[in-house]
Amino acid sequence: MDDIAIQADWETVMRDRLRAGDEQALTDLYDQFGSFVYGLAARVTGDRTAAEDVTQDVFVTLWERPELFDPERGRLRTFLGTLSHRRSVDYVRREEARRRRTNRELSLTRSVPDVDEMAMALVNAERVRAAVETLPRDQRDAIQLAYFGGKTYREVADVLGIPEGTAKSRLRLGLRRIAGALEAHGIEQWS
Amino acid sequence: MINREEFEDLIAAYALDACDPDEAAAIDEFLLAHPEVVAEVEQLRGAAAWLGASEALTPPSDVRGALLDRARAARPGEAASPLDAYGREVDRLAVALAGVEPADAERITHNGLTIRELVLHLLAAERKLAEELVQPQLAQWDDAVMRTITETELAEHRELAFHAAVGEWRAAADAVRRLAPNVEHAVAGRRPADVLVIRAFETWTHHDDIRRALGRDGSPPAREVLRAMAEFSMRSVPWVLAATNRQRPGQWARLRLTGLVESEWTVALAPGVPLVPGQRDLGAPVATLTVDVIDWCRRFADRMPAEQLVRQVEGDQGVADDLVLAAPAFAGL
Repeated sequence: MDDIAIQADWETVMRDRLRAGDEQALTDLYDQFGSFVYGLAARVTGDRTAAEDVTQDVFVTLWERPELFDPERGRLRTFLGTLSHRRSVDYVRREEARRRRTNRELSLTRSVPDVDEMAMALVNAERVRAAVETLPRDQRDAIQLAYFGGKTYREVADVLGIPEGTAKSRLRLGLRRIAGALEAHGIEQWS
Repeated sequence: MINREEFEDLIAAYALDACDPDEAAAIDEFLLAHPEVVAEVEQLRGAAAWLGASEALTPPSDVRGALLDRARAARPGEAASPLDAYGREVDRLAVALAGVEPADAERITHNGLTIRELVLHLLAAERKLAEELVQPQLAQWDDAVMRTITETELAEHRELAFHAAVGEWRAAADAVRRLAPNVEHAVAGRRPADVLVIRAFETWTHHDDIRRALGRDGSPPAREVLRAMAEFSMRSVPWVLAATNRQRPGQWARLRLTGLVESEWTVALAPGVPLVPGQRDLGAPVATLTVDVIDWCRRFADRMPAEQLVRQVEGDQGVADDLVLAAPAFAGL
């Protein structure tokens, strides 16, 4: 059995344990993915308190509705990352939250990355970072504004002073290149 | 609905959560109707998720405790594990059968079999399952298979005394409980966990058949077991709709279960549809069906006629009727 199949099986077991109301499964998943979910939320919201709320929301959603995660469709990291990002973007897009974010942005200092995150995840994260760095500048800027800035493609177009169609195109080309680079490293959407 | 070209135009923005809400809802709708493109979206979402991986930060230590507090408050009712659900229903039925006099075992049950024959039917099923757990052979396990193995069992054990049959059934069920935790392969195309929930469901259904044949009162399964069964029935909804040619690709409904297990479910009205995180983007359900959980499970097991199912419907009455009519599509003997 290869690593991908083992990972998918493990995720299926964890999903079933959550269904059965196994609290230890929840804490195991939190210990494994908590820093990923929290770090992403902190980066997108720019607000530690909001990131804590998002982190709790993400894991409580998984706890309440484990059936939303389908191991046959994708990996748990993708599922949790999608949830964390969506909740964070929702936060950012609320006007009041935007104001608070602006005020707090300056006071947010980066912490040392969590060394307990799976070693392979760190290696893969570095590969992703490298893949992003190799993108043409215009694609990289568009993706970073959209993903980490929580902006819609229309807002990306406005910030960059480009047509909306061009913004969509840059996001599409850039994200496909990153996905292609991940596949080339055998990372794909799993791990 | 958007077309394929518009979908391709927006797919990356969607994967990055960079669409306006109405556009995201349009993509969600497109995905419901076109499950063949879900993998493409998942690939891009996977890439997007990895973008965030380099941002990992250790959360403050108090988040873990707060999360557990919220989790406990959020889901006081828990589903039994499939193995536990199965074991508990087997145990309940064993207790009930121990009190049945051999003469009463000749009473006729719902499906035309006597109580004794029903026990042999269960014995056939558990024996077959134990075999499949050791060496998978069946591609699928349907009503025709059940009828064949039941007829074989009935022919072989024509003279077997009632309580001897009960003992054989119990031994076969215990073998399943011993074997199942170590099995990784599919059983008749299904995950072993799902097969155990199906067996728990059927054990309860026949327990209820026997109780009725004897004219006895009975108690329903424990809440945790009922929740596991209800969840399985919800996951089966798209498939029973398809099996009865009532599917509606691209549409979804809400089922509210009341009574012992209060819960709410979002169900697609056709198979192959992903469950999308953040379902707020899906818009309004075409129908909301509210039913008692025991009634729903009995309907699912084809033990309650559609016209007797007390229900409340909001939205499309035809969709609600189809859900009720299709529910027992996979019910067997």
